Amino acid sequence: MVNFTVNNYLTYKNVFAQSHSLDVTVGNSYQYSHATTNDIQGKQFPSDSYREIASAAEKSGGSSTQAEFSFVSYFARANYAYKGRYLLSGSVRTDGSSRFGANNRYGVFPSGSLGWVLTEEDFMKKFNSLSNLKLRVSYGLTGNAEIGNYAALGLFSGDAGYNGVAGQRFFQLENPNLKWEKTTQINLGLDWGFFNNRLSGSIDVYRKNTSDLLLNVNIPETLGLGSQLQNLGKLYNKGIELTVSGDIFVGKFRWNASFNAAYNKNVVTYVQGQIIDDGADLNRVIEGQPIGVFYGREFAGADPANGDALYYLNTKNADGTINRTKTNDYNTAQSVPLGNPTPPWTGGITNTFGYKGFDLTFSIYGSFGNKIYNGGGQYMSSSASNGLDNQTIDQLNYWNKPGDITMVPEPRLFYPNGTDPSSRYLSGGSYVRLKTASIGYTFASDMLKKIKIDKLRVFVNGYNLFIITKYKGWDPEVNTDFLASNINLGNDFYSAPQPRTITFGVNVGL
Amino acid sequence: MKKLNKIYIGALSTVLILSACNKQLDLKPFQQIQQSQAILTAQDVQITLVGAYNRAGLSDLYGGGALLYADLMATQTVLDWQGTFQGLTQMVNQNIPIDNGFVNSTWADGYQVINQANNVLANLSKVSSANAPRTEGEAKFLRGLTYFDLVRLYGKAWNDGDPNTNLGVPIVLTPTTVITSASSVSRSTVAQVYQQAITDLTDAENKLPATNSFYANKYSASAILARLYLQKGDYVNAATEANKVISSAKFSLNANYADEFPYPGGTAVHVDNTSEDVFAIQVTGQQGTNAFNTYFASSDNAGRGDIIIKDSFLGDFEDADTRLGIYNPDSDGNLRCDKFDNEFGNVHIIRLAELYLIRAEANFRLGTATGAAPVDDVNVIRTRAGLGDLAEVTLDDIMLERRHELAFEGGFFLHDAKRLQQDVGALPFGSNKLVFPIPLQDINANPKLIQNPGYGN
Repeated sequence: MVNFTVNNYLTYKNVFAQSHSLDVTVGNSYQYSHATTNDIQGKQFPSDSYREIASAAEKSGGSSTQAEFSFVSYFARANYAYKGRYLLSGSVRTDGSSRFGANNRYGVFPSGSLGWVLTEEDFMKKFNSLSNLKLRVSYGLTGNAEIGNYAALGLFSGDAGYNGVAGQRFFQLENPNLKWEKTTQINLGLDWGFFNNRLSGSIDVYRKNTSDLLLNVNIPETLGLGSQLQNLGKLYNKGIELTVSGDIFVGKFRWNASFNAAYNKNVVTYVQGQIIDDGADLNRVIEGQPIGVFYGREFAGADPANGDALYYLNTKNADGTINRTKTNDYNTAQSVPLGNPTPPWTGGITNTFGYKGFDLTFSIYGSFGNKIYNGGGQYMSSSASNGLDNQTIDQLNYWNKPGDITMVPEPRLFYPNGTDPSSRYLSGGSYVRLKTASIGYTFASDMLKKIKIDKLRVFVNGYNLFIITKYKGWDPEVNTDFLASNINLGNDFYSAPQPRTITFGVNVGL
Repeated sequence: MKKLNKIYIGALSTVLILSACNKQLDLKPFQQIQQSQAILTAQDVQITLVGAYNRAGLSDLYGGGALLYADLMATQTVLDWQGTFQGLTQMVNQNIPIDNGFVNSTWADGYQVINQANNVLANLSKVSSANAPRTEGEAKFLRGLTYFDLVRLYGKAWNDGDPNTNLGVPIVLTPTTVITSASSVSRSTVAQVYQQAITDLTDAENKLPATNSFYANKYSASAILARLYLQKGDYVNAATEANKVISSAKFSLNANYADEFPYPGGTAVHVDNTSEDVFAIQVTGQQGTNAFNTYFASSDNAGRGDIIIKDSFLGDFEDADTRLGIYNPDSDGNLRCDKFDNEFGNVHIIRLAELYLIRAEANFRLGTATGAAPVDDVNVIRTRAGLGDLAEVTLDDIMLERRHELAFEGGFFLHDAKRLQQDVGALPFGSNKLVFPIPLQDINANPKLIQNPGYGN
C-alpha cells in the first residue's frame, strides 16, 4: 500500500488599520494511493509447529491484485474579519478524481459564509447576562467521489477460465460521463451563551440538495450486465439541530448537563421514475420517498378461513381510492412504501455530577421514527414453515382452525406460508439507550502524598446498561454488514446485539 | 527583480503541475482491461469464447440451475424438498414471486453467455480462416443452447396455445458497448426464439468439427437440436438429428450406468467427459459449480442435502434394473440420487442415452425406423441397465424408459410433462405457474418487457 499526499500552499496573513484582518490561502494538493495485495494459501501442515507456507503439503490457492486512485485539487480561500464582529469567508476549490469519466473528472466547489458576532456590537453591551450571540449563514457546494476505483471504464475481466484454460469476460459497461455527486448546503445558525457561557447552545437549520447521485442503476439484463454506476437523480435533506449545555450547579456539588436533538427529513426527488434496488429484500430508491425506503407487499395476517398468508392488494381503484382487499396471491398484491429505515429524530442527554471526590456521568441516546426489517424473519418467524430454525415465541399464536384471527399463518412443513419479504418482518426501531454511565472516586491529593502517588481514581464504567424499545429483535441499533450500502439500511439478519459491558478500574498517576 | 523571478518560478511550477495532472488522473486497472483493448487479436477472441463457457458454467445456468429448477417445479411426487433457500422452495411450491432471486440469476446469466457469444461473433474477422468456423460454431452453439433453455423456462410451451403469439424472451445478437434506447429489447415470440436457437445450432452443426476436446463439437449441436425438435413435436427432425449423433459412432454408452457419473474412490475431483457425454460443462476444483451436487448430494458428499428422493419413485423400476444402484440412503438414512455425488464432477448437459430415446420416440410416433427401429433403441438402453430385451414397445414403454434413464438430469419432469400435456402435480401442463416470471428487476429496468400471464402486472 502506497499512499501519499502532496500539499502546496501559500498563505498571506495581515491586519490592516487594526480592525481589518485578512488571511488568504491558495494551493494545490495531489493524493495518490496504490494498494497491492498478495496472498497464498496452503493446506496440510506437518504439525502445529510448522506455520509457514513452505511447509504446506498442498499450496491450495493464491492471488495478487493492484488498485490505484488519485485526486488532484486546487484551492483558494480567504477569511476576513472586521473588529471580530463581522466575519466573512469564501473559498473555491476544484477537484479531479481518477475515478470519474474522462469527460468529467473535475468538479468546482465554491463555498462562502457570513458571521455576525452581535455581542461585539456596542449596542449589545448593555445586556450583561448575554455573553455570546453569533449569527451564521453559510453556503457550500461539496462533491462525493466515494465509488469504486474504475467505475467509469468499460472493462473485461480475466477471471473467466474454463477447465484450466484462461478466459475473459465482459465485466463493466463504460460511462465516460460519470461525474462528481454534488451537494449544495445552506445553513443558518445561531450560537448563544449566557452568564459567561455557563448556559450556552446553538440552533442550526439546514437544507442540503444533492444531485447527480452516484447510484448503481439497474439496466436491462439482456445487455449481459445488471447494473451500471450512473449519476442519476436528486434528493434533499433538510433539518434542524439544537444543542443546549449548562453548568447547572457549580461549587461543591457540580452538575453539568448537555442536550442535543436533531430532526432530518430525506426525500429522493428524482430517479427517472425508476425503482432501484441493491440486492436487499425491501430497500429501494423511489421518487418521493426517503432513500432506501422499505417498499414491498403489506402483510395482512392469516386468512381466518384457511390459514393462508394474506396481503393487501393496495391497487388503485378507478376512483383513485386504494383497494384494501386481501389476497393470498403475493404477486397480485401491489408493493407500497412501508417505512423509513433511517430515524428522522435523534437526540441525546449527557449529565455529569461531582461532589467532593465523587463523579458520575451518564449519556442517554435515542432515535425515533424508523423501521427495521428482519431479514431472518423468513426463517425464525415463519410459522415453522420454512426450514428447521428455532421460532420466535410469537409464532405460537398461529392459525389453527377456521375462524382463528391471527397475524401468524398456518404452519406448513416445507411449504412456506407468508415468508416472502413483506411488512410481516418490519417493526418499529425507535429506542432510548443508556449508552454509557460511569461513577468514580478520586482520592484527595494530600492523602496520596503520604504514599507518594500523584493521582488515584477508582471507577466503574457501564456500557449499554439499559434500552427501552418496542423492537422485537435483539438490538434496534443494527445494519447487517453483508448487505449494508447507501441504499440498504436498517436490515437485521441474525445480528448479534451489542454487549452490556461493565468495567471496574483504577487510575494511578505517579 | 528577485521578487519577479520568484513569481516566474511560481507560475512555471503551477503550469507544470497543471499539465502533469491529467496524466495523474488517467489510471488504468490491473485485474481488468479496457473494453476497447479487450478483443484485438485472434487470441483475444478465443479467450472471450472460453469466457462464454465460463459464464455458461454459472451455478444458476448450466452449472445445473437452468435444468434443475425446471424439475423443482414438477417433482413434488418424486422428491421431498428440505432446502432453506426460499427462492427454490417457491419453485417446489409452484408459487414463484416475480422477485425470485434464482429466476433473476438464471435470466441474467443466460444473457451473459449470449453477450459473450455476441462478442465472439462480432470479432470473427480477427480469427484465422482455419479457426473461424470452429470459433463461430462454438459461440453459436452456446447462444442457441441458451436461447432454447431461456424460452423453455420463461415462455409458454411450444404446444401451449400459439407459439407465434405467445411471448418468449428478448433476442439480442450484438455485443453490448453502450446503453441507448435500443438497449431495451422487447420479447420475441416463442416461435421466433425457437427459430433463433435452431438457426444458431444448425450453423454450429455445420461449422463445428466432429471432435473438439471438451468443447462443443458438431454432435453437441446435433444433440441439442434433437432435444429441441422433440420439445416442439418436430419428430422428423428430432429423429434425423438424433440419428446423426448415434450413427457418427463418436460416442458409446458406458458399460455400466454408474460409470456415467464418475466419482473415483469417492474423492471429489474433476473427471474428463465419459465416452457417452455429447456435451458436458466442465467443473474443476478451481472453477465452476455443480449445482446438482449442491442440492442433491447429502453433506456426506459436499452437498446441502436439500433433495430427498421418495421411496415411491423406485416403485416402478424392474428389480433387475442396475440403475436402481444409483439411489442409496445417505448416512442419515435419506434416499439420495447419487448421480451428483462428485462435487467437481462435470454437469452432463446431454449424453448418448438420451439420443437413443429421442430417436426411438420420434420414430415410434412417425412409424419410421430412421437409423433403427424404436424397440431396438429402447433395448440398447435396457441392455445397459441389465434388463432383458422387449419384443415390442409402446409409447408408454419409451416414456418410462426416459424417466428411468434420465431422471433428475435435465429438467425432463417439467419439459416432458409439458410436451406430453400431462398434469404437473395439481396443475395442468399449461398452468401459468409452470412458467417462470420475467424477473422484476428487468421489468423495472426495461419498460418494453411484458410480464407473463398470472404474475400480476
